[in-house]
Amino acid sequence: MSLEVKNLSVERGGTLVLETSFSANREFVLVVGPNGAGKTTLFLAILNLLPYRGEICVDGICDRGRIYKIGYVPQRIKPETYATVWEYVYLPAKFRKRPTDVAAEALRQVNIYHLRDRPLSALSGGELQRAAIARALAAGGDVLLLDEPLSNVDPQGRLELVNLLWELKRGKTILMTSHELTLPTALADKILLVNRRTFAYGPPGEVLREEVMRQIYKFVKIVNTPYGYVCVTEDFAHPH
Amino acid sequence: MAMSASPKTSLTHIELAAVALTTAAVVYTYLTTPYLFWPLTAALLAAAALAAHSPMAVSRRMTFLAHAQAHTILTAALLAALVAIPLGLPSLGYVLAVLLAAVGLNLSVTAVAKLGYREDVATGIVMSFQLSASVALLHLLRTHYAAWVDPLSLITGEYLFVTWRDVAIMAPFVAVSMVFPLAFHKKYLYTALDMHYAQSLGIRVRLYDVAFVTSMSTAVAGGVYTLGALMPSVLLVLPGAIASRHNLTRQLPTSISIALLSTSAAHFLYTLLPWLWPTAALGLTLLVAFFATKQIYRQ
Repeated sequence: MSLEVKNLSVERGGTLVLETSFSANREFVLVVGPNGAGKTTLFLAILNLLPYRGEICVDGICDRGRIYKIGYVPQRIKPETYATVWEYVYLPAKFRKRPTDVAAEALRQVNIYHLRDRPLSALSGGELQRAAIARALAAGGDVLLLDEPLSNVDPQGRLELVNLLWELKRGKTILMTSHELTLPTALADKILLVNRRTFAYGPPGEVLREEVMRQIYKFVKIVNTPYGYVCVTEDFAHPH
Repeated sequence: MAMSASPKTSLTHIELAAVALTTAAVVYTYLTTPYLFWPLTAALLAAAALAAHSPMAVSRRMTFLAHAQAHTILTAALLAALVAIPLGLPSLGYVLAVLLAAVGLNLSVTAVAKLGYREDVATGIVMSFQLSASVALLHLLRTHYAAWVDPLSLITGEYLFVTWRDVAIMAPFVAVSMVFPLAFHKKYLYTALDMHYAQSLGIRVRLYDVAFVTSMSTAVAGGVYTLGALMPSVLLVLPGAIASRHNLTRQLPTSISIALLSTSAAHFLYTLLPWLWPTAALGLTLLVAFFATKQIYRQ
């Protein structure tokens, strides 16, 4: 259940768009960075969907075979077909020749087993994210990659998803990208702060420091509140 | 714990109706109009093979490419006729030549897309060349081989002249073209649902695209003599469009059922109204099926 990323560099159109190195073992890693920082690019490289330089290994498997150990929740989930929740979750598990039980178990784990016969198009944003997480679990991910699972979900749904992720994180290596720091920081064992060629990696207390964050964002202040870290931007600190 | 997605009741009705009407049409034709038995058999086989590809063409947003098949087939049929006539090839040679031309033309869409064009634009570009080629080939055929081949019959199909020999020739094409849909339709339909995710599962999407297009061309070649150049594209779109209202795992049987129902109904319609060409009647019954199933879903 370990993920090791060594000297990774990814180019797109001749431009270097990401450089980073880190490793995680049964930890929850929150991947943070501004738009275009390379967060999704990192996931696509881990999934072997982009050419890259460096080494990416899951449980010591460094070739294409590693993708069979990864569960993935993509950023955009398009519920435009008549696939049911069951088909959405069960079929990937079947393609990977996993037993039928895992799909039912995954649906129960994310509390949407009762919705299994509904078409995807009838689900709310939060339910859709849960279905995507169930699909990743059923497909057999010891390592889970969650690409902005909290986006397009209302505050109540977001809180419920964070609670769900809190339960899932036991015994798994989870990488999750997010624009929001407040809620998910509570889950994180480590933070990977990236912005193309710049990155910082470590426990939240070490990474979420003003001098580190300023290299990535134009934050004026970071406040550690009982609810998590709150970043105050220049515009907010000095309103016109 | 074993479980499966629960199919909708109307779907089972469609499948049962297809079995009943197809059996009735085959038995009735065999007993009352035996000279139409082989044409009906050929039409049913061709319709099933094309409809098996239809949900995938619809889901993978290849309906434009499926419609372009009509042009592809016409160009391919003209090209094949020009090659087959001087060489004195039998109808198997004609069908093989159609297959080669159709595969070549379909794969050229993939090749043009690799130049950086969207697939619909790439299809349009290839179609533009095809249409120009079709005009040139039609003129050549009419000028030099008018006594041997009627270009109109390439468009409408030779339904009434189909014999058991033609069925024997098309059967292997139909059988081969059914392999991809039966073996991989769920994976391929899932790819349409979420391409990036499918790739992350290890599904080689581009390889599947090429295999699908080749399989579709094989189905088209199998049905071209019976159905002509235009109707295969109808069968590649409408059954899948109707089936797309069903669960993902039921789309293939629904699509094939719709095609068999429509072909059998079209055959009955033709025996009642002999001025209505059977393949035209097929288009009409598919249209009725499209609106009828829409009503079922509203209820």
